[in-house]
Amino acid sequence: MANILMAWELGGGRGHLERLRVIAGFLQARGHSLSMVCNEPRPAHQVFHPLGIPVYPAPELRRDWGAPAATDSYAQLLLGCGYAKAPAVGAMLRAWRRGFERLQPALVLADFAPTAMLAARLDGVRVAVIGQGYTLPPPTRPLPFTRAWEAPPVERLALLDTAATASINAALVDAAGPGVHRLAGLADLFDVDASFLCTFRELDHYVGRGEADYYGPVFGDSRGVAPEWPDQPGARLFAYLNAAHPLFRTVVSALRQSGIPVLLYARGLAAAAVPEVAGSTLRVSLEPVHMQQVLADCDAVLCQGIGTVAAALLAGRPVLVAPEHLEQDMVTYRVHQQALGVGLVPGATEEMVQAALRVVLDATLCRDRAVAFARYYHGFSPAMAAEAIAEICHDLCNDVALRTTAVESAP
Amino acid sequence: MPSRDVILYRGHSDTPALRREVARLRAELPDTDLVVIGYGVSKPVFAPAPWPVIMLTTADLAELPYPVRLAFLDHDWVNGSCDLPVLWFYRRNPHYEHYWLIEYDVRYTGSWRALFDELSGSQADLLATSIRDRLHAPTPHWWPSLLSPGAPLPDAALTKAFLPFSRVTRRGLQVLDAGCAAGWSGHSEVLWPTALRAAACMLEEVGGDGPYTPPARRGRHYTASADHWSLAPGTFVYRPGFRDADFAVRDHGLVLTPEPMLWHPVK
Repeated sequence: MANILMAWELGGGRGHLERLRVIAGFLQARGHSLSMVCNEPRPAHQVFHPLGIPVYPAPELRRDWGAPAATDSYAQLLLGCGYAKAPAVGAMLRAWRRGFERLQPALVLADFAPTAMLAARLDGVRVAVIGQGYTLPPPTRPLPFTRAWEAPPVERLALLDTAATASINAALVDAAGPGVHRLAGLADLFDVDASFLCTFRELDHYVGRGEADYYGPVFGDSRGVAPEWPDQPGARLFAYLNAAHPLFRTVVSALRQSGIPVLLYARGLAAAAVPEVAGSTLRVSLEPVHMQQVLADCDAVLCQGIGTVAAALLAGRPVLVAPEHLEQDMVTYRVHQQALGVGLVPGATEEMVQAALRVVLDATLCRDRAVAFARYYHGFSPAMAAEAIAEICHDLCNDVALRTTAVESAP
Repeated sequence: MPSRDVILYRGHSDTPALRREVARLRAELPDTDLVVIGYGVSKPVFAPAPWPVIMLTTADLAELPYPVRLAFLDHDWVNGSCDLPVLWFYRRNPHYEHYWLIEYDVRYTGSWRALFDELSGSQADLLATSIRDRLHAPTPHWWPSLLSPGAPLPDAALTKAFLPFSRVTRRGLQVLDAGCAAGWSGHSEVLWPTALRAAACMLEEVGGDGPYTPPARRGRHYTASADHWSLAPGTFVYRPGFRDADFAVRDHGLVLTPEPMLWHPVK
């Protein structure tokens, strides 16, 4: 069978790895040989070692420390990660191609891996791109504005797109000569053999994407420790928060004062810090909690990432989102817009957290909307989406015509 | 009698400051071999010098037999791989007992002779600064870059170290060379101490005040804040930098201060 190379270059968290892990299982069952190339090899090793999938360090995209923190578009994101300079793009391309030469992939499955996509294009390797909405912007020219709640800076977006495209084209020409097929705009980056948009239309970071195939989120929901709730009556809240989140202490304090029974998975919290965080109504887990079980036992969810947001809504649980960066801001906006939950703003006070908790736990609007969401997507499972994606990857490896297996979005 | 030790002075630009510092080392440690070693995308150009200079290209380094670490080597930027020239050198010169590594932006406001003499009593396979185990260093670092053959190592097995001034034994380099050939990979600040620990090699701090500092050197030779990613405040840190001009320079090097200290980075 074929060599399939999974690539992940940008972004953090475990969502990318989890998504690829679930799909990898189906691809292995089809007899394919997989490898993983990413910028965080150790967590990838922890995820893929049990599957016998080798992990390699990816060439590192260099952050331009002088770049503005704002990310108006995917183009600006790339410009802040080395794409402002053609030689840097060229170096990354050479490095990826060197790796391709060694691993001989028939297919590159790229999850937020723009340079791997470009290198595969140069080498004639088939490319399937996968991601939630943020990493797969609709292929407009220029690529769209990220903050739907502000007026788009039209001219600026065009300039950003032009700058990133120019760098890429210069690197492509340098690598393959003047006859190389150049990008007309950054949207062409996404002109690939298959595109797997792993989210629901309702949670798509880009409002009004237009025609698109939504495969639904892919995540593992059957691993983790069994939930252990505080012995306390009342509606329960499951919280999943990065311990380094700027609001972590504020949220924890508000949770403790609320008296609500809370199970908190505090990712990255030092074991020594647990006594400071836990309380009579707040139980802390340092390990991921079994998602299916905990969602069955709770009434609402406090979280950050789109994976947990999607899982909660699929279970009919309203969400209180505590975004930490732009991508999570975009999810929060979608949640709030559709009354599927509420979000916290940067610098939120304990009183604001308390008020938001009352909304998701007591108000019927969010609960009813979440239940309606779950009802609409009843029957969907992340495994089902993963299997469909793996099937198309398998077909791509075998030169079989593409089939689309998308889910319909809620009206 | 051939030298048992070699100083690998790591630099990639032929500057007056580099020449001044190398000359000072040569004057103070005439019995110790010294090689200026560096690399670049294209070979850095050095004018003739009264000491050996080895300048490599990233293509030279790509020939090292490290299948995982170099599978996707970025030819333009070898972030965290500045140890590769050291391993390259070791493979061609495995006869030294100790390999001292000094980056071009390290300064010592004391006598190198006295420092080397003091550290020569150490049996450690790796002498470095700001050595901390993962469990006691929860701040972000290069931990996610680490790969080891076989099953992933537990957090308790991970260690980091700061290496601009360091010393590694022949045994230590044997371990690292064989390890990289077997699939170890990662940023050198995590890879080196972790792989050496995994092979039961001994780690020790040059000074400072960490858990790997021997009592006799506690509070000496440098200061740093190992719990912060920048290692600042301190004299031997990652950021911020110090200005070379702020170190009073005499004919043959830096003014010697009453309390000799290592400084980094001095640009």
